[in-house]
Parts: sequence; structure tokens; C-alpha cells
Amino acid sequence: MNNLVGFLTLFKKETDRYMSVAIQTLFAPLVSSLLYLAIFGLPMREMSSQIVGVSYLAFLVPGLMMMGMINNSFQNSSSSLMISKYTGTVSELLVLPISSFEKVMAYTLAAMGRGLIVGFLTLVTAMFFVDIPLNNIPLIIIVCLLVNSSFSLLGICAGIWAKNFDQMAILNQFILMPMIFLGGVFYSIKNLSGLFQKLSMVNPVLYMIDALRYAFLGSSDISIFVSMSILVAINLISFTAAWWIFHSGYKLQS
Amino acid sequence: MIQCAIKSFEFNATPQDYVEKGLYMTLTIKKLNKVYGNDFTALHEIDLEVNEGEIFGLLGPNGAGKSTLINILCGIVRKSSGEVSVCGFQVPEQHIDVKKIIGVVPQELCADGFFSIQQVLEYQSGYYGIKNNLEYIEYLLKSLSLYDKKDEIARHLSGGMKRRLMVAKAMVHKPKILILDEPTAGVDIHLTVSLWELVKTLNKQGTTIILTTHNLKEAEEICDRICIINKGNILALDKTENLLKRLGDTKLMCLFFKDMPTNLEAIDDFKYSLNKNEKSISISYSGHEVSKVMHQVNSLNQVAMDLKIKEDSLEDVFKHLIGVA
Repeated sequence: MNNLVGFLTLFKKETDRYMSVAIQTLFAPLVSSLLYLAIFGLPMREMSSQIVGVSYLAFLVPGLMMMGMINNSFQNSSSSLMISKYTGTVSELLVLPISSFEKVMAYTLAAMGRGLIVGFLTLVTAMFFVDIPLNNIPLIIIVCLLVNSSFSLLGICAGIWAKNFDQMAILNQFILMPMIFLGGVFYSIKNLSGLFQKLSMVNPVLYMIDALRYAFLGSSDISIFVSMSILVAINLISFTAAWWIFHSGYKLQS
Repeated sequence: MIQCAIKSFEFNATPQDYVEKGLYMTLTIKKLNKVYGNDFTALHEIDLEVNEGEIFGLLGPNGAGKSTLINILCGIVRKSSGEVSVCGFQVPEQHIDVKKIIGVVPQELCADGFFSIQQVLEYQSGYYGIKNNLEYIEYLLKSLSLYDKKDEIARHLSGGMKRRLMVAKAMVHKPKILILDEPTAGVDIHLTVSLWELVKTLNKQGTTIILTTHNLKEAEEICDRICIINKGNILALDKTENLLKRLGDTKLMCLFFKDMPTNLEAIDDFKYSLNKNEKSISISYSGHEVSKVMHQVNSLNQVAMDLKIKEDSLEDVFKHLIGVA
């Protein structure tokens, strides 16, 4: 890196930004995840049903962690850039002596931090109520890092692409949320009928949730190698896209 | 000593070549064109050079191309063609090096919604690789009368204070070139004066200043050289005093009388106009005709109650060049 101090400063600023409103950015998502756990999990516990050999609550926790991490890593980078557009400070990004690579890394690492904190808090809190197996801790960490980085990078792309908050809401509500909810947060795709199971297979979030479930529970619907390959591919594609956006000045320069 | 204006500037040479040879100028623009997507030509074949250590004014009406030119320098706008070099570094190829040596105060007001003034300036220092800049930040805050507000969130400031914060941000890394795009818009007179004092101090310390302003009086007082631009074309580029001489050193003498003179043929050698309500005569003359005009005024045989001399201002030059009556 040519400007290490500049990169670290941008990373710190982005981190300070979400930490300054921690109730909104860290604790509100945690409460949401716990509410999902209570609403969907507790009635099922009484039914003592099991999915992939574990209790439904233990099955649910990795999915809820994933939901929190995806939402928050994506929202951190996208909303930061959207707010910059509205306050007019986005053009300052172009004037700074920080390279496109450094900018992408600073925004991504800060957003990853938020996603990882939300995921970690969700897990720790859930562990008070649910006995969750930790089958492969290194793999848990790797999957969490890859998922957070991919959605942080996609958040950068979305934040630059969206002209206004309406377009961002469309992305969030009509694309991201359905992908998360239909990606198997609350159910195993083995419980779906043939057509819906096939449709689910084109949803990349399915592979992410499945990889994390494998890391926690030791069993999954899809091969871990397939899931990890898709995760790495998404990271490469989203990093290239985010770097190109800053490098080319897409929607930033005229 | 660094030679500033080199006519034989070679764009193929590396910046290091110029530093080693002691040969570089602050800003060189050659045949710069900018055409926006809707075929609007914002800049047409612009050629200009800015010397190290000067205060250079870029004047023109709204939409003249001033901000486009500045935004090309700082990387917000892409040029369509032409060559731009800042201290030997080419735009946009060596944009990171260029950005390190310039500070920009953009025209549009903008302020961060999360952080205090102090934090904003600390981050800004960090972006430029400066780890501990608290002393200089304090100096800037005091110089720009922002010190009492240093803990306030930037977005909650008034328009004038936001403008001053933007000026502080542009100066925080002690840039070699300070670009000010309408820096006094929305700033009150007292603070405008303190801002120009700060700019002059920086200039004396060796900072090159490039500014745009609508306030022609300001430009006349502060700028060493001025470029007047309109519809993307340079109309005039010269030292300020030379521009003022361009209209022919014409002056206007206004004489106010108790009783209007009747023998006006005494001043027939000069162009004049009468204002019977004010009982005044305005006589147009050149600087070297002072004795002659005074002699002929004496011949009017009326005692003047008051006298005013009006010289051509930059505003007159500006209006003349852009064709405003």
C-alpha cells in the first residue's frame, strides 16, 4: 500500500461512523435476530423436532447469524456511500490521495467488522439459550470472513450504483431480503419440493448459510467444497467490481 | 531557485527529471478540452500556466467552465483531451501524486453528519498520511475562527462555518497548491477578511493559490494574474494591472456645481455628459491628459463643490470582455 496511514484513517473513520451509532448499527440487528429466534425457534422446541440431526434452535442459529452478518456488512458500506452522496462528501473521496485498492479495502474491512460483531453477538447471546455444537471453529471463522467480505464489497457496488434511497430500498427489500429468507435461514432445502429446491440452488446465499451450518453442525445439504468455491468466486467477482467502480470513477466522475 | 515558467515543457519527461534539473512549474495546461455527455463543451482548447508562488484568479460568469477546470485538476471530472500537468505530475495518470500536493475547497457546501470539526480535520490529516497534526489543526481552527466550535458536529454548523471548515480541510496537509472555488460564498465580511489574510500568509510561505470568485473587487486586490474565461474559452490572461490597463487607461472625472456652467464649449475637447438634476458634469479623459482637463475645467468659470475620480475596475474589464453592457 502506498498510503498506509491514509488507508488506516479511512478504515478508522468508517469504523467510528458505525460505532458512534452502535445502538442502531449493532444492537438493533442483535435484537432482531433474537426475536426471530424466539418467534420461530421456541414453538419448534416444544415440538422437539430435529433437522440434520440437531435441534431446530441449533439449526436456526447459524442461519440467523448469517442473516445478521449479510444485512449489516452490506448496509454498512452501501449506506455510508449513500449518506456521502446526500451530504455531498462523496466527491471528497475522489480528491483524496488514496488508491482505489486502499479505498475498497478500507470500506470492506470496516463493513466486515460490523458484520462480524453482529454475527458474534448473535452467537454468544444465542448460546445462553441453545446448545450449539462448534464442529469446526477455523472453518466458522473463514466462512464468516468470506461472507462478510463479499457483502461488504457488494454494498460498495450498490452504494455507488443507487441514485437514491428508493433504489437502495428496492435492492434491500426485493433482492437481498428474499435471497436471505429463501436461502434456508429457517429451513433445510431438503424439506422443499423439487421445483423450489432447484430454484433455491441458484441462490448464492444458500451456499453461504449451508457452509456455515456445516462448520457449526458438521452436516449440510450441499458439499462444503461446492459452497466454499462459490464463496471464493463471489468474493473475487465482487472485489473486482468494487475496485473497478473506484478506479473508473463509475457514477462518481463526470 | 526553481524556474517557474518554462516554455519548452516536455510532457514525456518524468517529474523526477524536472526536480533534478530544477525545472518545473506549478501548473501547465495545454489544449485542454472537456465535452460532457450531452455534447456541451465546457472547455475549449484551454492553454495556461500558473507559476509557483503566485495567486492566480480564474474569473467568469456562471457556466463559464471555471469549476470544470478545477475539477479536472483534482480528479472529480475527466478531461476529454489535452494535457494537464501539476508540478510535473500528469493528470490523470499520476493522480495520487497530484492529489498529495493540492488542497481543494469545492464550491458546493458539504459537511459530515457524524463527526465533530476536530475529528473531521484529524481524519483529513490522516488521509494525507499525517499522523499527528494537532498543533496545525489548532492553528487553522483559530485562524478561521472555528476553535470554539471544534467539538460540534460539522453538519450542524451554519453555511459560513461549513465553508470555513472546508477551507481548513483543504489546508490541513499544507498543500503546495491551494485551489479555492468560490471560497467566500456565504461567508460574512469579517471572516472573508480573515480568510484572505490566511490565504496571503500561506502564499507568502510559498503556497500557490488558484481561486475562482464572483467578487471582482476581491480578485483585483488579491490576484497577481487573472484569467477571464467564458463559455469554455479564455478571453484574457494577464497580470491584474495589465488587464486594468487594457481598456485604455480611461478615467472619469465627475464635477458637482452649485450652479450648472453655461459655457460648456470650454470642455469640447473631451467627451462629457451632463446630469442637470445633480448639477454635475462627467468628463472622460486619459491619464496623461490631467493637466489639460484641469485647465479646461477652470475655463468653465464655476466653482466646483465636489470632485470624484473613477478609474476602470476589473469589473469594467470583465463586463467589456464577456460583452455585458
